[in-house]
Amino acid sequence: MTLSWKERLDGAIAPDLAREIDIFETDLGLKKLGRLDDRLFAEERLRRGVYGQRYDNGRRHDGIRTRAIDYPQRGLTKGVDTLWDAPGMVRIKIPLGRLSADQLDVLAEVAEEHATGILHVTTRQDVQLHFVHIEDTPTLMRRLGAVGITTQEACGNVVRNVTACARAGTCGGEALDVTPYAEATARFLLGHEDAQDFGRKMKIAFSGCRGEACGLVRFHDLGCLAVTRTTPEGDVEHGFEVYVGGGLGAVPRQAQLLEPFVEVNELLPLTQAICRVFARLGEKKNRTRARLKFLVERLGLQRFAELVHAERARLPPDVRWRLDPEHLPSSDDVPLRAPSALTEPLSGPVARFASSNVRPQRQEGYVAVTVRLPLGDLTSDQARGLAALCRRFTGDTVRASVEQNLVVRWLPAADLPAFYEGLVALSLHAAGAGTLADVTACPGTDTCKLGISASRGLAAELERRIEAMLDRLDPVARSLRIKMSGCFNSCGQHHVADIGFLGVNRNVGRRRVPHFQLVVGGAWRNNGGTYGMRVAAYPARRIPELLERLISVWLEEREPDEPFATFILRAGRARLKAELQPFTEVPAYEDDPSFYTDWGDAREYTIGDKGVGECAGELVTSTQFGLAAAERILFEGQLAMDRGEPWAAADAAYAAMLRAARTLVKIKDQDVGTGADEVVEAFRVHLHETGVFHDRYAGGKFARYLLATHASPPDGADAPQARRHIEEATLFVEAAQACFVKLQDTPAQEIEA
Amino acid sequence: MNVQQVRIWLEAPRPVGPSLDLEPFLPLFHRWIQDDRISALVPIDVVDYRHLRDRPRVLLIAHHGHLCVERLGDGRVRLSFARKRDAIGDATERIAEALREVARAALRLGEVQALSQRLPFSRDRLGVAVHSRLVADRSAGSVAALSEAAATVVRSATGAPPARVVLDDAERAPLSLILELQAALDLDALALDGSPELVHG
Repeated sequence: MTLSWKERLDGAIAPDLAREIDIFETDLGLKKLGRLDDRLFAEERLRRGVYGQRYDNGRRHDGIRTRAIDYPQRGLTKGVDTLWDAPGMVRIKIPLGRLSADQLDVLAEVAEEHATGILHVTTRQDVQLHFVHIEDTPTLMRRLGAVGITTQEACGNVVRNVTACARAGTCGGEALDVTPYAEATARFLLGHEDAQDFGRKMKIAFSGCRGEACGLVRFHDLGCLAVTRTTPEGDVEHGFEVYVGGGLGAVPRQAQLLEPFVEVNELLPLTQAICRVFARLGEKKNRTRARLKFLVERLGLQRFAELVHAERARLPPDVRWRLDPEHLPSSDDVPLRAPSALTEPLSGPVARFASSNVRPQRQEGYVAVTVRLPLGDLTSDQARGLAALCRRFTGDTVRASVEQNLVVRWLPAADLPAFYEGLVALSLHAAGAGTLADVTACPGTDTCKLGISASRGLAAELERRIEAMLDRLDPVARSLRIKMSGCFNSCGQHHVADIGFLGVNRNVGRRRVPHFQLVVGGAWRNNGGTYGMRVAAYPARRIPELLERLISVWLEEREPDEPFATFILRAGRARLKAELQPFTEVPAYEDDPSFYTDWGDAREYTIGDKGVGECAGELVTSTQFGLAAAERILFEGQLAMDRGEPWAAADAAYAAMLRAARTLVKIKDQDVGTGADEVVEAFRVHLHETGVFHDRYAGGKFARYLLATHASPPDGADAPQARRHIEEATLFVEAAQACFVKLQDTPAQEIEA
Repeated sequence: MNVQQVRIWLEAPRPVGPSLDLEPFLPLFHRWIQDDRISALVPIDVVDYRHLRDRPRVLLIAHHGHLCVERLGDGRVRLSFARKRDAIGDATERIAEALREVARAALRLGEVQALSQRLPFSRDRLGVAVHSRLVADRSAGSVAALSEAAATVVRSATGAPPARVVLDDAERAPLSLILELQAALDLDALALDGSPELVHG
């Protein structure tokens, strides 16, 4: 008999992660039985990276009319207006973009088995799979978990993937290798209780230097820029400049400097304090104003800093804060082979490839190779092939980059020709990484519910055209960056491109026409240090010729050595708009219907397929999650009873009461521990003796169930005892739900009284 | 063998002229959805992966499985159907059902005048793969079980067992076999064979 993946991988997954996946699988079952709230489940799955995709409301415009997709399990949903059977996207967190060969192999396998056989690298160093059925996700998570990858907190209102320069540790310009610090931050905040009650997501980035773009700290909620300072004793001390409140989207903001120097051991407590302030004071109702940037703006940087420092002073100490060398996570990113220099100069295709895709490392004799992925896509075969190449030449040294490429580090320079031949065999040898031809694009209307225009379709078309003329292009034009987003949420990071495009639409006659707003002059360098200027919207079909004209104007009119961004400022919006005016024209439908379709999509264009996004997640508090967890533990106890394991049922009943009690106590005492004695004592003081927990009719009866069970915990209970424990726990958890409602409805001062 | 996630493909030989442009498959697949040509598969969308340098492809995504047309490195065109979910029956029934779907798609493509000359799918060779590593782990036992099930399907479809079965030995790739047939597949008969509507599991 074939074992399930759960059975086969038993013991191969870290226990906490294995338990996490089991919980999600249980919740999938509960949701199918209708025993889990729609909104709660939606946020539960989002927090595990299980995301909606276009048409998951079961409606799709086929180019002629909107029609229903006839999914088998009609009526069953996996979140608000999201059908159970609709395939979705799974976002897989790759902290810092670090990937081992084994991880690449398993990603390739799950992409092949559960998705389309394509791995998509995002601008935040995640990997996304599309068209995945929700019932396949626990298996997918276990497969990934067995090689140390989690999807936990890849979406939802939590700390998202922590990103960092793909060249960290090998780059000549960095103040410090940020790898272990970013890694420690990612681990520390994953599932951290202080990072569960946000009104929106929080994005964190690390950069090793000020001038380059790889880390992009200036447009993150929290950005950590490595710096050094010299102590009065003359020692060089490492630390971080910490920035807060950056973000792109419809209201882009540059992050502001919160701290000019944070010593390494202070990084995690400061981050924790920021999380607490954001959770406590961040907007919760108006989702469009709920990111950290709005809180910083509302309070002012100085007040925000005061609150963070006050919070920091209150934090109970945590041994995990120590980040001096002996406490840092170890780095597996070590070279496989000894360094070696090239014995003769490169020539031919490999030389062309090296000129754009290869950079020497600061460690002599090694180079870092950028594997350019078209639109961030990699096939399963390519991923497997690349893993094999890495095993042969470099070891586990791959990192996904924020430009949707993969960087293979620690290649001995002398091995470059052989490595290149390996890439040729995999069709991964495209030159032009980091050039005009290397276009960044979010998923847009291909798969995203919020997409307005086909950013990937346009990006593919531009890449194709630019590729064909890249060698003929003026070298200064070759170095420009193009980035595009399918909507104002800006996942394609168009604000910081030399030439950015933002998907919009316009009415022409009685029809909709896909357009892109042109945004020019943004700075990719300096950590995404300047946002571009909006010019106007142009029909999608005209963008390729517009691009050509825009570059020509710059090349013709630039002062000697004048950078593109400087030219844009000098030329100004009005001049550019006038120059590009001819590209605004849309012919009548009868004359050219192609304008009424989008790139890479043959259907007549419509925005009727646009759905409700899940980027903002569902607003579910940690109290709601905690009470749901208590119910799940109780459900597991009932299942144990059914299996004839009364001792396990009684233990689960007690655990459910403790979980519910602690969840409520945390409203009054954020720092309550997890030990049973501490929880029950805090429950007695805050909720029992105050009468807050008491039922209108039963008084303190349900509270006493917990106190009595704690005084005499179940120990090998028989069936009648277990039944009593389950019944009492059921009533206790019900009372906890009622108490939560009461606490929400009662003014704060009344509760205090 | 408990065959899960089975994929079947047919290939058209390398064209004499320039490589086949995959662009026409975008409107064509959309039209199949509009015209309810594949409603039993519960179609969802058409996805454009022509930008890939490794086997550029266009996919028709459906609830039960994906149809894919891709151009291989040497210019050959491959048409495949990969069953993703809700398969029923034993191994041979599942392989036969996937073969029926790919046969139907090949015939539909043959109806398109511009493609019919360019896509003469070889009927004496087919590929079969099982994506699930859980049930098909490339062991000798798995290879034998899949070979036997696939041979049964071929015998039933053509009246003769395959002349040769070749294992794709690419490391870590899904278990894949190429079956060279003694007698040609009759796509028309295959398309009509069995239930005209794919059964939901």
